[in-house]
Amino acid sequence: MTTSSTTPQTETPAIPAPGRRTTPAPGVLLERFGLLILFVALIFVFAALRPETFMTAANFRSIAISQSVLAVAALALMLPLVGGRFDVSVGANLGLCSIVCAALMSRAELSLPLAVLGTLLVGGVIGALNGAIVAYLGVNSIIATLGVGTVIGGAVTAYTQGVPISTGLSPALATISTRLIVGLPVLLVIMLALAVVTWFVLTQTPFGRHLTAVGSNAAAARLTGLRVNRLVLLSFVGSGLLAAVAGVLQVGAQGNGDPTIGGLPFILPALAAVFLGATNWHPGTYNVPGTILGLFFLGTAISGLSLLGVDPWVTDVFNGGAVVLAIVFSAQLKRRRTGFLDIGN
Amino acid sequence: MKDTALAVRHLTKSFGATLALDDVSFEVRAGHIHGLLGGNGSGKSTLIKILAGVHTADPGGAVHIGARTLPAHTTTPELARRCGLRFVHQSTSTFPALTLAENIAIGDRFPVSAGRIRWSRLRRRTQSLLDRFEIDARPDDRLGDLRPADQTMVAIARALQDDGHGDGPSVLVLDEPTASLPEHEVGVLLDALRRYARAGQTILYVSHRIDEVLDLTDAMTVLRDGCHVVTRTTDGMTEKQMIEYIVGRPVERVFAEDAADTAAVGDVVLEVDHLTGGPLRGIDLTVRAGEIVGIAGLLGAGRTELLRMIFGDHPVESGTIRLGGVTVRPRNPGEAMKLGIAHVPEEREHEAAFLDLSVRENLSAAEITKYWVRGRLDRRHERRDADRAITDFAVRTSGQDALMASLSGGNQQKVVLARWLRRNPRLLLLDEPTQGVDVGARADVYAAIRASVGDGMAALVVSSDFDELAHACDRVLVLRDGRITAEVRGSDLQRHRLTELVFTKEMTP
Repeated sequence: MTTSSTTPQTETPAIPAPGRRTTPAPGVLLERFGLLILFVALIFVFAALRPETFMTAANFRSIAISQSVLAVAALALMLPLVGGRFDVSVGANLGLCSIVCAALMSRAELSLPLAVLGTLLVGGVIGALNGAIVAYLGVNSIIATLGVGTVIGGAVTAYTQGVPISTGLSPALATISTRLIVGLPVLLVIMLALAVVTWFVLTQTPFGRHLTAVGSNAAAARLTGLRVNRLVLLSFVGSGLLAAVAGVLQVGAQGNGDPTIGGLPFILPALAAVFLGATNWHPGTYNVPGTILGLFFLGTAISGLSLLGVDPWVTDVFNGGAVVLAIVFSAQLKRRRTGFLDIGN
Repeated sequence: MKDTALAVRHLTKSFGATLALDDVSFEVRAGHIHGLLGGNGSGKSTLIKILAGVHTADPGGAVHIGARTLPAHTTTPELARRCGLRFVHQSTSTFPALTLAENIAIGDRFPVSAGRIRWSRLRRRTQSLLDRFEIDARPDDRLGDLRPADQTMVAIARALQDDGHGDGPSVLVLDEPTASLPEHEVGVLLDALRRYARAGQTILYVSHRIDEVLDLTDAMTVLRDGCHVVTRTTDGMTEKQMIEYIVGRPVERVFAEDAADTAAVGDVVLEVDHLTGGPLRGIDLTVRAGEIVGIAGLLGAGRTELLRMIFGDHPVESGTIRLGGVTVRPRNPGEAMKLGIAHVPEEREHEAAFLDLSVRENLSAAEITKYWVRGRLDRRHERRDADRAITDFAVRTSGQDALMASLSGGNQQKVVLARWLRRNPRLLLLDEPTQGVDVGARADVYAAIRASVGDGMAALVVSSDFDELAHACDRVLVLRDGRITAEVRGSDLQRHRLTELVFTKEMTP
């Protein structure tokens, strides 16, 4: 067996036994499942402190429903990040899409499937616009999507005048948050299905592997024949489509089209989850299980804290702090694994 | 008689078991332009780095600058500066997007009072500096807008800006200052250097352009294989003599054709006809199946661009590329790959390796679609192939799941090579395939290339290591000034022969 060494720079002279993976060392296991352990511990702590309110089926269902929309937003954030780009317009796109979906049903009187289709189209076009600006006009992704996101926010306010759209919605959607499939909230099931699709695309298709290569080293990706620009564009289109789904689900979760939803603060927990996700499960890479786990960890923590009766501002501090800490962790992890770390971008 | 401005005494530098410099001594007279010459691996870069304090020499040597003496094993950049050594490197550390004044001031030289930059003072200082160095530009001009020779002169002015304040005379070290200059700009710079020297500036001029050194310098030193060959006045020297010093043996048969060993190896795989673009001015070459053809040339000769053009990653102005008799013009690497071309780029870490991905992912990077079967990736197949590649190419790693970053340079290069050879390319292009690769891995890399060539592949190799080219290649083409100026094969294929050819201007025998 190979000796497990902690410093990655030392070379292990042994040629590996072909075929099988080597058994990971305890430290590696702790790294992979550390967040899961922390999550379980967190549940025990809150259960001990607030047994009568926290440890209830109703509370867990409420967490599941409220986090499902954010989880889809986290998937939307993750896709461009795998290719090394940031899409900070996901929140704004989500807000826009929830208004579009509501308006298509309420004002254009379209059926739910058609409204969803129309919303996906809008979200996809926004994603394509972001992707084109980043991939073909060479604009820094954070700046480009920040600009596009702000324009979207303005457009939503102009259209709605700040008034929610709550009439004429499809009852199937408006009541979705109360429905269950085999005891699980429908929203959670839809989110899990999307997570599986995203996981599949990222890890089981050439597209996902190519995008990972672009995120790792764009110049090398180009010189191995990958069409880097197109891959980045597609990752933004995927992000836009997921944001659109999240927008539709948001209408369902809230029961109306709310123009105040969306924007950067709204998706901050999702952003934290993506980076938290990259520190566990498959450390060093943005991965779907880690992200979902990260999001529910944060959601549960917030829920538990509010049941403990902390002031609302704590939520902001907690979410903001979680983003920075998660990014610090994942950056340190990268330095430890690869021996280098760029100035943050 | 003039004084000695700079003297090195008994300079020795070893890297492990290899001696990069072996007891080198010479001196440079004040107010002289002194050339420093040598082929690849002669030790001149090492010498410059010791002077600059980037490397320290082995104990025992000394560097004298004016009246000061430095033990050569204690040099630091700070000490070199304080003793009056000023460096301008080939890729000058200037900022094209900034103004001349900003370029002059960068590096903690902004005149500041009350926490604010005194721009008018900086402008005045820059203007007087520009006047002193006779650079026709204004302090507020952007450096990038100046012609290339003037940009180099600004870099020189910046290096020398503090001189003349009583710290004793300085020595300016110029490292290949004309390497990236267009032909007509070279004269402008050389004239300026002559003016500076007449004003008393001592210059150590490192170059591989023999005509320039003959034209410009008062004296010169030649290094070869880490040893001092000669230090003498340039007066009365000929180009032929100079090449003899650099190469180490008489030059008798420059460009004599060797008729032997022209037997065809296999069918022609690559045929390049009058390829022009970038620094290349009409390249003609053919590579046959079963052949490893080397490209020897100096920095900036267009070696990398030649490979990039064939790989569809550099614009082609004119000329044709034929692959197996069919004219092709790949517009991007993907198209070149479909034609059966593979390319191992020069800068492994920046252009080939995915350091934070696994060895397996690095191996399959160029053919992931191959594993896409019935709607998903065939992981088992991929893992099997990865294990086979690790065994076949003797990659030393803890396993295919290890990160690429955990491998040594040589093993990373084996992974990159395996990535391409797995595709069974018709033509393999290699740019400095053994840069930063240890000796053992070097042999493995070439053994792998040779094995694939034996199966009918053609290979085109660019390398700065002429020893390596001489040993590994069937024939070597010499690239100089954007043209192929010679072809060497058979018993003629030796490092010294290649060195002599890359230094010699094109001429008819």
